[in-house]
Amino acid sequence: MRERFLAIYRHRALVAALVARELKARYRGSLLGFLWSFLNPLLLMLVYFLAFTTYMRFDMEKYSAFLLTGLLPWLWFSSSVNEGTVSIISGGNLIKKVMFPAEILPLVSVVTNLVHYLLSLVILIPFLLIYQIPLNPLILVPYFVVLVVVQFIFTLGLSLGLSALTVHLRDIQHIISNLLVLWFFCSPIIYPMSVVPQRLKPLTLALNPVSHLMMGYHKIFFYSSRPETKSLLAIFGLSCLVFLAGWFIFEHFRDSFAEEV
Amino acid sequence: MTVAVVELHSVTKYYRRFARLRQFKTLKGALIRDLWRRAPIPEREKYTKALQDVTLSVRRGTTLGVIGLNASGKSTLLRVIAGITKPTSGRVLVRGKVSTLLEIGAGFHPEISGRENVFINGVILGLSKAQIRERFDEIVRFAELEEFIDYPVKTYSNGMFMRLGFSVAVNVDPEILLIDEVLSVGDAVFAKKCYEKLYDYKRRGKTIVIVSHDLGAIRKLCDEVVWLHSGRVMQVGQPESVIGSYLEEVTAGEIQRYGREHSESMEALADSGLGSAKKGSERSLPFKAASGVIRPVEPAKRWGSREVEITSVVMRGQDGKERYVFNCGETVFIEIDYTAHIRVDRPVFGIGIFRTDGVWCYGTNTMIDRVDIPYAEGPGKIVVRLDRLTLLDASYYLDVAVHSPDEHPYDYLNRLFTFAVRDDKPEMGIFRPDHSWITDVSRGK
Repeated sequence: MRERFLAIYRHRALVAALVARELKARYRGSLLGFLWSFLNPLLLMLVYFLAFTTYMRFDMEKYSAFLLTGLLPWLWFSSSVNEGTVSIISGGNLIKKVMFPAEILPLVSVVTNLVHYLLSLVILIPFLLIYQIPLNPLILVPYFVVLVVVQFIFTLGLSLGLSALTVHLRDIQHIISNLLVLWFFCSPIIYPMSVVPQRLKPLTLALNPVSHLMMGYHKIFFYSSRPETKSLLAIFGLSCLVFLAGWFIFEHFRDSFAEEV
Repeated sequence: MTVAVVELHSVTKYYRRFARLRQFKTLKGALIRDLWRRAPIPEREKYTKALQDVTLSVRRGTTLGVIGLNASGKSTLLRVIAGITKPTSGRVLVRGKVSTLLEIGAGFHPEISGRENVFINGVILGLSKAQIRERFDEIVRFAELEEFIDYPVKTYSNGMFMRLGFSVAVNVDPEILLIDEVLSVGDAVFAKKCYEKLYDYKRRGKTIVIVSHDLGAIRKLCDEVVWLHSGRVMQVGQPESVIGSYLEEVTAGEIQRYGREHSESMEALADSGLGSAKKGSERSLPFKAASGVIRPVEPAKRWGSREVEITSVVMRGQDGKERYVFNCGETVFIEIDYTAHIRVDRPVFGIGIFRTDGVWCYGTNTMIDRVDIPYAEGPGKIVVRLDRLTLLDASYYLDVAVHSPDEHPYDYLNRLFTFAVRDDKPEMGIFRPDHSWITDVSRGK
């Protein structure tokens, strides 16, 4: 495992180049270009805002800021998993034709979307200012870093395992894209944990690591408070387990990629 | 004695035809597997033997050519050397930095500019940013894309794409370069530049392993050639001798193929005989499309009123053996068997030779050649002797016809029979007039 990490480290220029390629290519050819990075989550937020406040009469103060706080990291997560799952299949010609550590492909999906996430945080600023949500950088910065690191480990582990399995079982990509929709609505992203029925709460928290992450982001950006340490530790431990499992699956199938893609 | 930079010790590579899970390509299949246990696939059929017990070594500074038919394991050999796939058994040793040119422009992204792609492709192939910056101008100049380098790659023509990909790859400057059948890049001028680049590599003592079907190029470029057949090494050694034995084998296979093709044609001829066809009607014989040798421009046809019917057409070489592959300049006999169902006066027999792209190479008949056949009745045979078949290397159709002196067709066989001429001189055109060069005409003046 140490060797693998060193190999990835040696290929850091490659990772950087591929991430840059993805970022550059994403909106190339569109009129608004990189502005879409901001517009997409903003428009998505408006859709939910409209649906929940106007149609479903969900009443919550500063709801748009709340929505955006959770939507942005969720988009990082779901885009990474969606893209990561098919990364090995779609990067087939690289794996077949060039000597190339395959784990770079899911890694690039996760990093690309992380960069996107970090950039898109800019659009959160006006909302925080308008609603005059006080932020304490001493709490915000360290906890934000912790949350991002944990989510990174979790997302990468999931992407690694899924990308390897998808090579052999193409159905997974379709299952995952649908599962992510379910996952989205089962996580406290567009609603606070307080509206979840009491009997479902333990279930939501125990089975869904994303809940902890989302609550964390809400805490630091929206409620200006600290996430619970217990919750953070639990999800950190779980992320590490997911990562190891994903890694194990990936290692198991690694040699078959060049032949099966 | 120079060191071996690539060594393979009894390397064997089996590909699973069906992967563990992909045996059933979908989840449904995977679930069903355990519910309805199907008969297991026999062990023998599960694997494709891409390489079998291959032992090879390439010394530093040599250029090794790899030849063989399709699916003989050539590309697998390169992949194993490159480390892209692991051998099923055996050992592979590689000393030095390897660059692969297995596919041109692997990793090019169509949406971003040529410039950005050069950087990414360079990094993929193992260069650092600084190295690429240093070589960037050379890469662009070599690809002749100075004007277009800042346009997205999707706007490039196929040739431009290939040129840029090749240019990046050769500028990586590795110690060992692996090339898989990619030198048919761009136009003749660019292909020449590519070869010059490879010669330059050779001069600088780099090692090259190249897979190609272009035997002429292999002969010129390589110091050593290995011939693979069904994953086994048939022969390794001097280019001339290995290519020679390979060609013999290929020709033998081709003679067989054209023989088979001919028997198919003969069957079709029999099937479309009188009784199966309406008199005088034109008839397509679409079976041609199914045979493997040549893809016809149009399907074979047969028409005519069938008072005289052609029953068999056979080509023979000088030695009298039936054959459909000839060398340029050989003596060839075309034997036409026919049956005249009623007595026909002054029948005219003719032949036509068409290249498979439709060029009419030659046509004549007994009337043009003033051969008088007073009448035909019952079965008969007529033979055309071509003293020297000087057509150049290509595949041809042979048309055979019999008609009346006023050109009323009795039986016309159009594009039914095929033959090939093989010749390894790279001459151009359709045929070779007997010729010689006289070089001392102007000397001493």
